[in-house]
Amino acid sequence: MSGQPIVIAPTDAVPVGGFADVEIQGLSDPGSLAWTVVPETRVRVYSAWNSKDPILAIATNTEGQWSLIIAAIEDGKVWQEKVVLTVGPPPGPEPPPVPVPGGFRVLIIRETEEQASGVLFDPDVRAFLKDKKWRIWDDDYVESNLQFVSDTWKKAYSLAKEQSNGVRPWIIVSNGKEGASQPLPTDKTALLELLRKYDVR
Amino acid sequence: MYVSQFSSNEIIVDDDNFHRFAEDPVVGGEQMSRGMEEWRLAWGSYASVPQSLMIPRSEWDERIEEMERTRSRISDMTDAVGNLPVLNQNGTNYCWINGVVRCFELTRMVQGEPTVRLSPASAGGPIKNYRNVGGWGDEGLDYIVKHGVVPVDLWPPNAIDRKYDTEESRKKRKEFMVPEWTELRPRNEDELISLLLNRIPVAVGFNWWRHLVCAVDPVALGRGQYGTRIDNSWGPQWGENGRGILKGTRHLPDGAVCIRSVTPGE
Repeated sequence: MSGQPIVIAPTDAVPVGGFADVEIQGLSDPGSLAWTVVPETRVRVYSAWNSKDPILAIATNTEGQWSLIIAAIEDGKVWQEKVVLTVGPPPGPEPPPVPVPGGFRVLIIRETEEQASGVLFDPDVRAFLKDKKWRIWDDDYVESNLQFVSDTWKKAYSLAKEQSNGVRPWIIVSNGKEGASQPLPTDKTALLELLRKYDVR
Repeated sequence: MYVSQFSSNEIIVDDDNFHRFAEDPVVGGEQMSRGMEEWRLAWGSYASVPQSLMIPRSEWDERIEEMERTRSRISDMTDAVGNLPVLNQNGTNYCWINGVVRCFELTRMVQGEPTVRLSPASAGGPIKNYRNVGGWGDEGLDYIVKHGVVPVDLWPPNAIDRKYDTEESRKKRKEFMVPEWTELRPRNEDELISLLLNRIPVAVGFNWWRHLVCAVDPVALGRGQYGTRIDNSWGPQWGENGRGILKGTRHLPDGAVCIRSVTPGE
């Protein structure tokens, strides 16, 4: 085999909570592959041998930066390569597409037996929402409670219940094309920023 | 220690001057006097305010100061909305249902529902077989929970008249019901102030006044004393835009109910 093996690894930070694949191509003897992680951490490396080119799957359950040292025998000598991997913080709540038609809408669901977040009563927030379509609803509504609202609101309520996984209070913001579904920000600056982001006119 | 500031126009009712208000000639309405034991008999037992909503007294001053400073009280929200003036029972004896319906309107506002003015007589009339008599907040709320209340475009607010009980109004009242509510223990200041700090208006009935109103804000009076700002149902000419302050033992209700959520509307 001519040439050196090639290592294909993520160049950007990988998020916590998954696997980062490192593929080694062009090894003349895959069975000679060895690896270690420096410094030693709880990072675990799994290998996949069912292909010609081995893949190391690195569990990214620990935040930080470390080196993966890979070695193999090539042409009777030790070939060695170092890959630096960065595992970043968990991703923030990814705003999933919230296809709630009908222009700008905001729905917040909360447990009315729990104390309400003060941000719900903030005059600046309410001034922003004035004359817009927004609601703060109890999370215990059943179908009969929603019989007088449009399918759009029903869909938003259903989405909030599904996506919140019990987290309260929860907010859905949508402009009909895109939106966010996430825990309600606890301060008014963050909430207003979120609302303005999707209030595209 | 924090002390709320009041405007010079606000009526303040306390233990020294309450006699003047108890005999107020414009009362026109009455809350029948019911003693503590009668309340227990009426309710069987109290469904007290959920513990999760209770706020310790040690936090009251700070929270009241914050909601006044940030203008995030129910009265502030009402003023900002601008289209929810206090109710006017207009000489009827229906204060007991006006106070509950006012709580309904304010809960809709807090919830972000569009303003719809609601008719107290559409609930009070059927309860009292269309007689112009006093009643209690809990019976008013009980009726609204089961049957709802009708907007004023189908039933004028003080029309104690069965001619408005039409097929259309019966259908419409189903849109204005109450899925979540709470009864307070009589004369329990901890429950009353905790609910108001959570921006949950409370229909409060007073034996001394033979009257029921809607409590909207807590107020701090200093030295561990508290009171409540009320929306009365005597029109905006009473007090300051229809509001006043109750303090001392005068603000402790002999009967009280609140609405935690209303039927969502379009």
